[in-house]
Amino acid sequence: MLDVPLHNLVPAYIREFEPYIPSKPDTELMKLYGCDRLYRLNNNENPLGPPAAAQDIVRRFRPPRAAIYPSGDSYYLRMKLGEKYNLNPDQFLFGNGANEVIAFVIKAFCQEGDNIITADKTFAVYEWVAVFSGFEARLVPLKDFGFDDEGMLERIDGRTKILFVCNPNNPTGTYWNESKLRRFLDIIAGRQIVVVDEAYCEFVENPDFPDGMKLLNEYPNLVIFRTFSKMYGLAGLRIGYLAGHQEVVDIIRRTCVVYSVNTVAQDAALAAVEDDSHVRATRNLVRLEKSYLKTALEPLNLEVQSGEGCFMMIKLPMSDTLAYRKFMSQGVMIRSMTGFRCPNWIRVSIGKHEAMKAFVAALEHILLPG
Amino acid sequence: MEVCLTKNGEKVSLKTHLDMTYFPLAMSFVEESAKAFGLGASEVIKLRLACEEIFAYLCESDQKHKAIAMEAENGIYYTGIRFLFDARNFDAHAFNLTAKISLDSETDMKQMGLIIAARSVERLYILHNAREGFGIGLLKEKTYPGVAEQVDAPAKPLTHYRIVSPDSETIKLFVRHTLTHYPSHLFPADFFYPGKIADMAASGRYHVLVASDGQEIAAGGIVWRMTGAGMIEIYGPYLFDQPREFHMAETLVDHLLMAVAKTDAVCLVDIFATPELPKGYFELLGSLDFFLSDGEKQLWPFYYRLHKEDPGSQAWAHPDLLPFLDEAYKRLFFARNILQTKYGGEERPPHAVIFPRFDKPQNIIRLRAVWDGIDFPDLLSRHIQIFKTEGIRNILFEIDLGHAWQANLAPALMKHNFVPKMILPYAGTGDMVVFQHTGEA
Repeated sequence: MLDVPLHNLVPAYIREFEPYIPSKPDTELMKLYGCDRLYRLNNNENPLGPPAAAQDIVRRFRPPRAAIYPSGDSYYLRMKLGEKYNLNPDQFLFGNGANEVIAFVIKAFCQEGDNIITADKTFAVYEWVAVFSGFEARLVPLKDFGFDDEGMLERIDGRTKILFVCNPNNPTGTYWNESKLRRFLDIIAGRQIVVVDEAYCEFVENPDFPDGMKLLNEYPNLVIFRTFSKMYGLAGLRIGYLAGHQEVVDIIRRTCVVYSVNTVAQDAALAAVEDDSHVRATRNLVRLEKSYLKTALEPLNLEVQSGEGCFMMIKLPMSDTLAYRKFMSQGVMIRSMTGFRCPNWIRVSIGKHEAMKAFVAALEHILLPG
Repeated sequence: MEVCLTKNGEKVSLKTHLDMTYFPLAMSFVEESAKAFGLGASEVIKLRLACEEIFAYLCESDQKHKAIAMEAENGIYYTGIRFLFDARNFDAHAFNLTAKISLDSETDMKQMGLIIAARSVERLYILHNAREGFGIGLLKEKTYPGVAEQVDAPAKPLTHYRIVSPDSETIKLFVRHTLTHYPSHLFPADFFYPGKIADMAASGRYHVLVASDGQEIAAGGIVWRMTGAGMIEIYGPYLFDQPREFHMAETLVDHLLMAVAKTDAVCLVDIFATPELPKGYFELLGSLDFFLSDGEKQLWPFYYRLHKEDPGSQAWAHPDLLPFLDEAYKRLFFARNILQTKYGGEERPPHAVIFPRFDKPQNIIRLRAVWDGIDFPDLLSRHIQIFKTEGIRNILFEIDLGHAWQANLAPALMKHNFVPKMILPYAGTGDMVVFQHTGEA
């Protein structure tokens, strides 16, 4: 029996915090659900995998290098991105996935009594990190599935430090165009840090979609998040980064954990970053399979929310967690959305055609028994 | 000996020893705390009576002369008293209701301290975990007036409404509307006292959402509470003459689910589901037979919703329970690795321990075994006899399939006329199976 007086030791905001329990490894899930294959359509992973050059890096990794520490600040990668985006390499900060850089930013700017503002139905980690760090997360309901700029501005007070905008938004796929983002930044006028999470920006082809990197020189309070987990297929290696004004990044660097990005991840990302053909191939696949999915869903008369990004949301006439179990029993893994505050919705990642066919077949089996 | 009085917000505590010398001190603590927390004079007497029985009982038990902490809690609608022991001194066997009773002797029956205590309060329970502590807890509720004879204007159909957390007056209005629109088996007994529901909401025991037009109109609502084991109990939704096309029931359920989305709740169970419960949100888990005080039997359906993605798990199962589990898991699409277990002549402790949780307003007793022992069948039979004497007709026994030894209790339960009625996935260390006593000897 545990004799440690946890009740007295643990802060209230940790006691009340819901821990995130990741799913079991695929092989374990397949055993439990009795399926002989599993299509992973739950995490928005790139079905094409990493670009060829990055795959080559992984394949050729020499085991003795595992004994050597990686570059503590992803030196060559920062040089490369500085060149690509015409920014100073010191304007970039890397983390063990974009999740880690979210924590860097919150730790750098928030203290007791401060708050952050974001949406109620968006990537959960902004809210999580704020709450389990003891800060208030003010959640503004989405408006027509999109971030509500007016609603966010109304919630700002003297203790607001950071506003998080997921652009395009995961899970709804909506986005702010350049003029809307500029207007928002103009009203904020540098009083707070504005983080624009562009994890899925490479999937957007519309010309009015803003490139945050190009706005950094105009808005010194702007911080951009990007990741190699989605378009570049390196989710398993955990590498993401932020970019911002140099003085802002210098502050964030104080909370940054160095050496948290491993050597393979840095080398693979370096190889991936210039591979435009991989971006084109992924966009083509996503476009094609989204179109297939929309057509296949039409006869089922389901509400669908499909915007930008490699995913779609579908509202089901049943509990999404029951749907998850039924999909799993047929070897298809989707994301249930109750945890995103979207009860009875599921999010399905866009995969290869075989996976999408399996998804549609499973959905029909679930909804149209017999 | 050390006596120490501390005050921490709405809790007051007293540290003393289990010795009859301190009996007056301990009872003064109970009485004065309860008065300070607003309990009425007759409730204070009943609470004191219960505490007298427990203190005296403990002074005669294995715990005598040992240190004890007494806590009094202001729960707004109740006063709670806890007798807490050091975990190292905690001998659960002493807390079996039947530990000191010979059922053959009427005199002994009358001296059942714990039973007498249970009669005087709304809830008696045993604490047995590191988070809450180790000991015995009592809960005595305030007395509230029933529904006043005021006539509320009927709720009007709302085409436009917002879902809001209501203030105290709106909660009472919502409860009064519920009483006039729904039969009593569709809401908890607490609803007969609107002021109590308002206090329960203020204490955080209940959470209430209502559909409102922005003024004082409560056109419908839904109520829930966290049970403390990762489960949320839901009551409703209740709608007052609202046309279906405005989807008020769906909106209420959606708002409830959004409100609890980021909590550590694992599942939700609607135990007072109305016909308005929208289709497609919950799964029918199963039904219990609920016996009213006049003996009438009603079907009591439980609607369930898992709050998280099922990661799959393993469940221990005695072969006798396999057919029930196989059917239930298949019907509910739960991925389970079932591990069969059976006693194989191995050494077992001599004495089992059964902990009861009395719920007097509902006339329900929920039993759980916390210790395995060879005498489990005999102990079970003695418990049933006591509850029959007490007139408790709804006797449930819950076993946790996360523990092999509990799974092995299934044959004894079935032999003593307990029937497996439903699985509550993830309600314990593993899934819980709820058995119901048939009422036969």
